[in-house]
Amino acid sequence: MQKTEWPFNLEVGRTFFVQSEEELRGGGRGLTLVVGPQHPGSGHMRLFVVVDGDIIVDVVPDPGFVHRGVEKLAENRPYWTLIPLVEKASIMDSMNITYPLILALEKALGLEPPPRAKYLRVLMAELSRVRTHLYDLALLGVFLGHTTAFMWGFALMDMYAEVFAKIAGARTTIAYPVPGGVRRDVKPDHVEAVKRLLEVTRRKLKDFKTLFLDNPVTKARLEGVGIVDAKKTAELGVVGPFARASGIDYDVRKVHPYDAYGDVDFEVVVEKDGDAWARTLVRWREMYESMSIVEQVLKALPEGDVIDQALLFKNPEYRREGVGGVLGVYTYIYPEPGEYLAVAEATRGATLVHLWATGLQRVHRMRFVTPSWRNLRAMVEAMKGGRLADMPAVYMSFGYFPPEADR
Amino acid sequence: MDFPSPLSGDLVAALVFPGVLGIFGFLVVAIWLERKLVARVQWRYGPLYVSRPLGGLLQPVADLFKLVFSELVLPRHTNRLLFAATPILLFFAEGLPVVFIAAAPGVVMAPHSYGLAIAVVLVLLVAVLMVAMAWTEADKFTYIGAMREILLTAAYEVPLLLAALAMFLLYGTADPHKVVEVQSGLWGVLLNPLAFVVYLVALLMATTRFPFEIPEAEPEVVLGPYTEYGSTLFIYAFGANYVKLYVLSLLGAVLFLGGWLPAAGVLGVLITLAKMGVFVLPAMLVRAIYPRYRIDQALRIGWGQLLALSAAAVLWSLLAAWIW
Repeated sequence: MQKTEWPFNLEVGRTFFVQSEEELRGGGRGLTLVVGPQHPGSGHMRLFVVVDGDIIVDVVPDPGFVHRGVEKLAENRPYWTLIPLVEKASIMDSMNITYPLILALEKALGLEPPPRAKYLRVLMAELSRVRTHLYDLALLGVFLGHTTAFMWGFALMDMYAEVFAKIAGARTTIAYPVPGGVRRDVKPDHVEAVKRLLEVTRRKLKDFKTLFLDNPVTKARLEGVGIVDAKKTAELGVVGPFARASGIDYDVRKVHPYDAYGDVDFEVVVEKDGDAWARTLVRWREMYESMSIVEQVLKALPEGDVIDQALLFKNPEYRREGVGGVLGVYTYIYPEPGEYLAVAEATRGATLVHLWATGLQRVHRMRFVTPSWRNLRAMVEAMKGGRLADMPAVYMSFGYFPPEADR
Repeated sequence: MDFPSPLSGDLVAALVFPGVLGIFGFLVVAIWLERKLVARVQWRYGPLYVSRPLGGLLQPVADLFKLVFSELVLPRHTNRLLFAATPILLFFAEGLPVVFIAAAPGVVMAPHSYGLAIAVVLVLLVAVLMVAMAWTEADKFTYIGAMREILLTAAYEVPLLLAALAMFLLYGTADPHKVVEVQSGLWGVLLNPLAFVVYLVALLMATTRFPFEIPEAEPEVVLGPYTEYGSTLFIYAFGANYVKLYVLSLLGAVLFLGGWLPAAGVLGVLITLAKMGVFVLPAMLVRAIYPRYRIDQALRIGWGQLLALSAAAVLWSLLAAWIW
């Protein structure tokens, strides 16, 4: 009887990272596990895990299963349709992931959002930060076998989806900001909804902490697991809360404050240990920081328009048609030729957009670097030397999100 | 024996409780109860739509039907006879210890003066079949699952044996009837609480409940020893776990909670059933409370705290028996 085993008859070089199972390091002793893409612990990716006994000797990632070619697609579209394209990279975090694109487009178009729009963007960005952290914590929970953390995290997330639907009109892919402002203004009952949401979140997070974070088993699974020290973190180019968990005090919101981030007061959460537990704690504390930012924004929310005056003047019917009428204006304004770079702090780290504009309404090239992609190397390095059971713990402690990495 | 003839005690034991009907009824009720209890903690409803007036009690039955009619896949590279046979063997072997455990005076299939000791040994022996099943599947994940099963068995079997031994020493017998008789004054759980704690933890390990749900850890080894099974064979393979929980709960009820006391006959059977809940309910609820340990941590617990505790339980029993 003929036994078939991966990689079947795959030609060398057909996949992105791994050519054949034999090329993997680890010698004859290791057992090569093909984890994914149809494995409950892999997400939309594949990991070749070589284990020697229970110890992981080598991990080779094979990402790209959900590559949609966002950068290439962006070259064939008018710039105002890039927002819904780019946000699909990370749908939970759509506000933050589109932020750098919006900032770059505003530079290219010479637009400046009014103060109220700036505050509203920060409001939505921080709400979606809490939501994405909840998503990652929920998945960390279920990867450790804690189904209650998973259910509670997703239940809380759904409340955020409802509030997003109220404010932006969509539950998940909100496409809220537009160059020069935001798509919709908030009404008093929206503000009330956000306040109630924060209150409920704080109350439920207490239970969440008792059952999940303070659980001795959770601590035993995460402490001292997947350590990446500060030097290695810097070398591997880790970003976001995962770099801050190794003691690197860097947050784009503080270093290059964009929109209203200069006006709000918040602390950059930093931990020293660099293990899975530190990465979890950083994200946990960041949720509270984000909620405090939202409260400050609600308190200091300025009155006025939510779209740049320059756009309003181009559409005299604005008062009658609302913001929707303004969007048509984009069809007859053109980006200034040149290169535009913008960085914003998305939930999982710094996101970069680099636009090459040639004066056409289609950008010549858009470079889009997402945080999960930059964290992949460190995630894989952190898995090595751990036990097989540490693999999912390290995986979700990096909040790795394949659609965001593959874009 | 206050059952009307022609229903003799051993026939009732074999067909109703703790035999066939008990085991299959337990499968349905336990799966339903587990889903319902955990859902309550997790802001959900759990099974609801199948048999709404019964609170979704028939959902597991519907699931069983669904599984029976799904395609049965026998991998070509395995020994197909063994592949099909081992889960069925496992299922019934897990139920085998029931033969020696009494649910009420006279309601026992095979009365034996060492009945409970034989039951404990049978429970431990069945782990071999589980490993055989995982081995037959010839898959990397089942192989790792089998390894974890072996290691976990190594972690709990000595404490489980010592906990049972402590009780046998205390009672001076392993006959189910006499064991319960001795407890007519004070239940075993009060006579030797250490042994009870060890037994409860060992029960969680033996039935791979959280936080020891390590052999079938989903994000690591897919479903461990059960990975390759589908359809009816999956029912047998996965149901075996619940049968083990049933057997160990019944054993625990007799050993620690005074079995059918203070009643006898039909009422005694019902009381035994109710006392099993003391072991079943925590085993269900831990799913909502704990993540899983790593296998090395579980081994450290088994060979560290648990072994020390079980040794202390044996000493406690020796002292108590000496003073008595």
